[in-house]
Amino acid sequence: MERIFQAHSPGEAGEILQQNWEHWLMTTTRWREILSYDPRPATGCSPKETLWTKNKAQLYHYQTSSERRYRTPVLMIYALINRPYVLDLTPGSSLVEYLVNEGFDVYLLDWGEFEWEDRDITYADLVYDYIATAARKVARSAGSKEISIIGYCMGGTMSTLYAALFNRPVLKNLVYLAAPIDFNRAGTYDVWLKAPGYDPDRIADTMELVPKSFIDWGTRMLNPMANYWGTYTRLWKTLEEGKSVHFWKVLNKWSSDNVNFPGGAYRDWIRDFYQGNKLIKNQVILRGKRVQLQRIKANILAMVGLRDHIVMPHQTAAALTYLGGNDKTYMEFPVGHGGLVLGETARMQVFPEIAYWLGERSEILSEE
Amino acid sequence: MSNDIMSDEIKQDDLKVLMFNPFKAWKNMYFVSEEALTAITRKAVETTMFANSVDVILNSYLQYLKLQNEVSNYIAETLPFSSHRDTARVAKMLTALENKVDHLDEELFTELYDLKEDTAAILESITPVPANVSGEVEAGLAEQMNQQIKITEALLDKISGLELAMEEMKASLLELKAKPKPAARKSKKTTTE
Repeated sequence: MERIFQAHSPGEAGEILQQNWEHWLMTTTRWREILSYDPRPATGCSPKETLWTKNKAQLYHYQTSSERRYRTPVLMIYALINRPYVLDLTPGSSLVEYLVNEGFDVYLLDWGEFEWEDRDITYADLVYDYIATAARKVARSAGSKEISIIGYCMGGTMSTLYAALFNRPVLKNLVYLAAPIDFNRAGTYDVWLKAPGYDPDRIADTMELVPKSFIDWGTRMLNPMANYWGTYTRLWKTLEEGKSVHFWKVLNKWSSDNVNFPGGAYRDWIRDFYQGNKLIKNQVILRGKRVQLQRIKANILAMVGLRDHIVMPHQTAAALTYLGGNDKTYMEFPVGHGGLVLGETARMQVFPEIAYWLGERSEILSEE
Repeated sequence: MSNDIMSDEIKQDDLKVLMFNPFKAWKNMYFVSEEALTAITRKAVETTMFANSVDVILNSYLQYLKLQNEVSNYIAETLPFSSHRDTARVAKMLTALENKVDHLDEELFTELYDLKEDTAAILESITPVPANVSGEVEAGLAEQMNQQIKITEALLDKISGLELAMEEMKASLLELKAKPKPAARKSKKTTTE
């Protein structure tokens, strides 16, 4: 306290303390306002049209006024946890926007919000009735016999199931963003989901439609302090330092925007993938057909976040070992699970790498 | 720790920062402790002991939920109203219908595509009539071609008809989707969020 008076008179020091106190109060009030009734920011703003709908799912086709450079369309497949607009979060921080501006014909399959009637949906349904149909629609719309797929997280796993089972349209390129292929040594999930008392059949049979709150809890509890408390102290810190809170609001909107999980798919996901690790053993069977990873001949790009605690880097890297095909690339970035599509590293490094890699392997539109 | 903070502040040559700022000191201390707490909690949730204790709670909850489901299903069955299961059944039927439309659409597209390919192949295979062919043969060939054209036209008419029917089906489906759904009665067993 001696130092308060070192460079200032007691009067000046008091004034400064008063200013600090007022700033503190003001930022805390603003913090409370944001959390209680600030409007949610706009997300998924890239212009698009709905090419196809099924149940609650929608297949978006992104529009552009700039020139298309590549004939091979890009289909994005997202996970069943949270909403897919993280891939088109906000202008300037959107993988969709970046690829569209680079001249790609971009499509996104939005699963929508699963409700009670969807409780029996399984991975077989998602792959056969949704992804396969969406892939055909995309190829038809783009006038191409080949497509590229970008699979984020669980969306990458589902893309793998599709890729192993369907030949047409030809899957030219497959990009994995933190997508689990090998479910061995899956970090905290390994401890939780393989515990003797954890029975996915019991959960799926009783809940039928696994509520979003349950899924949300499971994700947040991986890092409880950061997700339940740190998120809000970070907001206060951002306000206190006078920085923009727009990105925090956008991110918070996405992270708290979860969806219900169909019980059938939940059972498959935990029992066959996490507990059985059946994918790399070629033991997954969908509608009587075995998923054989060696059948996938597409070019592979596997991207991982070194600090990812949801999908460990080696889980995605396994794609290079188990999938067929000769053109395989692996890239690591010093980010967490969301860092591959959110934030500066995503904008400055991940998006350009994806665009470059895809551009090298996509059919270029000839000038007519 | 506060000494470090103060010396950091002194390094900056602004007079204002020479002053000890209790708010900043508190903030720095808080975020350092938060980091430590984050690490501790992450370690704690990674243990089998944590997983086992959560499973005990989860399984007790599931047991309760199962009982609740059974009771509410029994009540729903005896009431003269449609339950959320009934509503879901109708919704599932609609999705199944959508599946059928999708399959029809796929088949139609494949047929159209094949037809296009075949037509191109036929056109390629039809070579100009050589000059030395007699008029009679030429007339016969022209007659054959006329017949082929008529068959193709009839096929195209059929396809157009099919396309129209599909458009109508899609329109009715969309209309059906847009109609307000009867509010499903909320049953505690499904509204855990």
